[in-house]
Amino acid sequence: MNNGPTVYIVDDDPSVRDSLSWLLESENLATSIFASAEEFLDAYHHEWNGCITLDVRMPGMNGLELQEQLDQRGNSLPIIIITAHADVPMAIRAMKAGAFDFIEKPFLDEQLLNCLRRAIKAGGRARREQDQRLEIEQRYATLTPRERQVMQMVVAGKANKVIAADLELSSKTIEAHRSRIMSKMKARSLSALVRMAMMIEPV
Amino acid sequence: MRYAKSLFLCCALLVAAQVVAKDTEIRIGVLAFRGVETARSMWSPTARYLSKAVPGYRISILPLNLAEMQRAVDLARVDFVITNTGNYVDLESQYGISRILTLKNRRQGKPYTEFGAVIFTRADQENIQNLRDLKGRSFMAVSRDAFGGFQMAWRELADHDIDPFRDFRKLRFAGFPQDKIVHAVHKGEVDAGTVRTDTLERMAFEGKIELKDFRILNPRETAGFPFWHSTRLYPEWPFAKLKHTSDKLAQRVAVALLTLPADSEAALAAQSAGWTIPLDYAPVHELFRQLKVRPHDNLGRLSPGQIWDEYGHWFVIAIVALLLMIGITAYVLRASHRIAVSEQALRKEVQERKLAEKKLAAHRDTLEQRVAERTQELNLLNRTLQEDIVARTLAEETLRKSESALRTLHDITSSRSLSFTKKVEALLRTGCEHFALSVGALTRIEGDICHIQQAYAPGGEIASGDQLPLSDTFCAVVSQSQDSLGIPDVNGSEFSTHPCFSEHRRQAYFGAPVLVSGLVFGTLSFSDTKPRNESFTKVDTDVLLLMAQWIGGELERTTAEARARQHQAELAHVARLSTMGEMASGIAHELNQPLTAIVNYTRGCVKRMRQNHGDAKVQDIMKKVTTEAERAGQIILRVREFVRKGELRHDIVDLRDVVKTVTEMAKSQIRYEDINIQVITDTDLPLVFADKIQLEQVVLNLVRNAIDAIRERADTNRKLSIHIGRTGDDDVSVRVTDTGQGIPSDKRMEIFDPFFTTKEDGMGMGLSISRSIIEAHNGRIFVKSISEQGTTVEFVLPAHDPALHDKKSVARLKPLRTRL
Repeated sequence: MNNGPTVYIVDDDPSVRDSLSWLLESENLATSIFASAEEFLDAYHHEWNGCITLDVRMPGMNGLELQEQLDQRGNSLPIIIITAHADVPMAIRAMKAGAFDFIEKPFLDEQLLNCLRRAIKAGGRARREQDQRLEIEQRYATLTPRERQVMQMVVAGKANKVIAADLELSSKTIEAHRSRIMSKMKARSLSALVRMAMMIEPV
Repeated sequence: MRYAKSLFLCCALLVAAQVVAKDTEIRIGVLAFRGVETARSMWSPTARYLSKAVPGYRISILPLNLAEMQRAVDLARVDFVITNTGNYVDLESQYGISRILTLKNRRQGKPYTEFGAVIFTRADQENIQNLRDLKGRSFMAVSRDAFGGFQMAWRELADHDIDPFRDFRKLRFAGFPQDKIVHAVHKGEVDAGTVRTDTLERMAFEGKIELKDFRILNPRETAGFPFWHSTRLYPEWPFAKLKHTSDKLAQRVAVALLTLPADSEAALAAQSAGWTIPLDYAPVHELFRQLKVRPHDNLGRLSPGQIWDEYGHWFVIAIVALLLMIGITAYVLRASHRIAVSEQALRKEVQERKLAEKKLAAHRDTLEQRVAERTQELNLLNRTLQEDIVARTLAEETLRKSESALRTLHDITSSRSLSFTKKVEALLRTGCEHFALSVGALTRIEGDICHIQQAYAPGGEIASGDQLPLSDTFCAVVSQSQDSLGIPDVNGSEFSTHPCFSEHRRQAYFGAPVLVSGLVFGTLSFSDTKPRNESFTKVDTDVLLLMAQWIGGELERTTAEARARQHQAELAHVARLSTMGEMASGIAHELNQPLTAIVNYTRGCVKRMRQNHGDAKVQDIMKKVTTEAERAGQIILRVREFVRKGELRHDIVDLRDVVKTVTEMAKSQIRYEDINIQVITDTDLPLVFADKIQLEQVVLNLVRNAIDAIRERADTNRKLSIHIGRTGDDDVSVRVTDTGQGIPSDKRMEIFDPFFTTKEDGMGMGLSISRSIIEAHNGRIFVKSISEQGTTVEFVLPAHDPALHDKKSVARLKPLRTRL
């Protein structure tokens, strides 16, 4: 698949998904279409970028079940639920389960495009955050157990002396640990280190 | 049959409401003429039926032979007896037991309340053409004590001047079974015999004999009685109460047995078609009196003429003997006097003669006095006899009247052609005639007003629709006490100042409360402006109470029916609305898809044309296409909004009630089909917060589908089961499983779509509507099906959470949560 943001369209009605794809491509949005939830899941890759439009009511696995499955796979793509008139209660359930938005058919041009753009943006942001988090996690993985222990106490706001007393080590040793942590984590300041700690392990 | 059942139900309900629960042991003695075990199997179902129909009593049977029966009745060890006609009459005259019902005996498939005996000979016995020809012949019967097996024939023979013990060459008693007698006559072992009616026909039916081989002597014809008979007909076995048994209990037992269906287990076991109002057993009494075979210690029941006929020659003999004794006494006296005279010589002749004369005079006086005393005694006896006769005539008259009233009551209430109103009218008329009062009314009491619901007043005193202040009527007293009230004459009674007399001139009154579901509905009352000559008897009260009870029962039944009808109408209305809404939704959904596609395509075109600087005119038209398609979408939206406006009524609902309502409706639809509906319920079921009627509609849809599926199969295993259970943490599920063909797997996805159907005449709305309703209730519905083995459709609803479902939040969400 390509690297730019793509709108993944899952709809069992061929003319609806084809026409939607046609419309979005007129707006220079890349699209990828799937005739069923199963087909989508087979192709799904967690590095995809963009957003998903899901028809709630489909034979076989329905939109809500697909949403659940994606959730379990750690999906970060925003999901826009497309409903026919009758499925409002389902849409509400989808929203509660974390869907980005829902749109009723037949939809207004601008409403749909705005929604998609916001979703892609949010998806991009989420993706960036995810990338960042992955990187920080990789850095964190290079720390020794002792360094991790010291880092947790530093982040908790304890002074070097206190840490030294708690761990029954000399202040000098702590000092050495600390500078190694900063360089391994590529943190330029204490506040940057705290931010990183919060991203990988919310306090 | 249906009527009888419902009458029984209503009566049973009424009775149940009135009786304080305490189980009293009641025993029915039954004559075990074919052994204890047979008697038990014949009558135990009747006891079981009565125990159920007369709540508060545990009713059992006690099989007894003739001697034990006599002892049991004597010691009052039983409360009721079922015994043969002869034995009953015996016990009636000895212990005053009284019949309350007569058995409808089932003979060759039909019920008969009377039976007789047939006297017959072989068809080729040319010399025996009538009963008189039997003189000097041999004759066979069951036993001297057998009522149908001998005594009936004996009476006919006696009427023809034949004494069976003297005039036959030989009289043989063969005992049971009676078939022996028939065979003996057929083989020529005896010249003639007698058996109970229908014995010959039954044996012919069983192929044991041929009817043409026999000739009936003294044949009689009785309308409605198809069997050969030579004797008068007598009533069948009675059901009788003992003296100590209360009339109220007897009446309840009688009503219960009167309404025993002919095809019930109890009736069939007793080889009967149920019971009917008691017949007249006087002919049986006559028979015994005539034959003098039973201890009738009540000479008082004979008329003086009969006494003379019966005992005249004894009187003559007694008088002759008396005269003879007087003669002998006189002779002896005279002789002794002569000896005295000869002994005493002549010296005191004059004195002695005077003395003798005095003595004679004294004797004469004593004799005269004794004759006078005797005459007086006889006169007294005669007077007592006459008084007894009058009393007996009166008692018989009362009995006849109550019997005819009961019969009329039964005829009216069991009529199939009369409406309820007509029946009440007939009851009021009958009541007026029977109680000898001029006005009858059924009233309805509402608060302080007494409404005349229906009236019988030939003089036009009151009419239906009239309203009276309750306090102005005696009905107030009746409804207050919930008991009957009889005032033959207001004057001199505690009611002499009551406004019903002072204002409305009601001088005689007889009323009883009409209870519906245990509450006073109104009264059944009869009244007159004239006082009544006699006070009301126990029988009158019983008849009145029976009428009031029947009316109450009928009212209760019609109310329940009306309620059920209204509920069905409501359900049908909701079903129509849902169908309409579902169709509109379905159409809208189907159209929405292509419209969405049109809008998308044309918009895409417009955008691309703009980018490529395409033909402005075409762009313009494309925009118009978009607008029109959008307009079509809006129209659909409006139609949908319009249909969606149905009211939803959310309540706390027990799914067991929902399933029960539906299965009862379904059962009435498949009453003639061999489909078994089974409901299984888990314990500890949570309630749900829902629109009950809509849920009923869902269950009804599923049950109907299941029944249709089962109908398509002719298998023996035709079962529909409904399982209501708890599922997950807090959900309730209802699973409807049938034993139909199942659904092919490729169709399983579509069955919830609108307009999808596998039935020839189906609309394809049922499951679609069901899904809409269940989803509007935050539930889910799905199908499991194994082809060839049936289908299970299950829906799951969240349990009611009082914190979450306060009425306000539901009302706010309503437009979103429903499709109607």
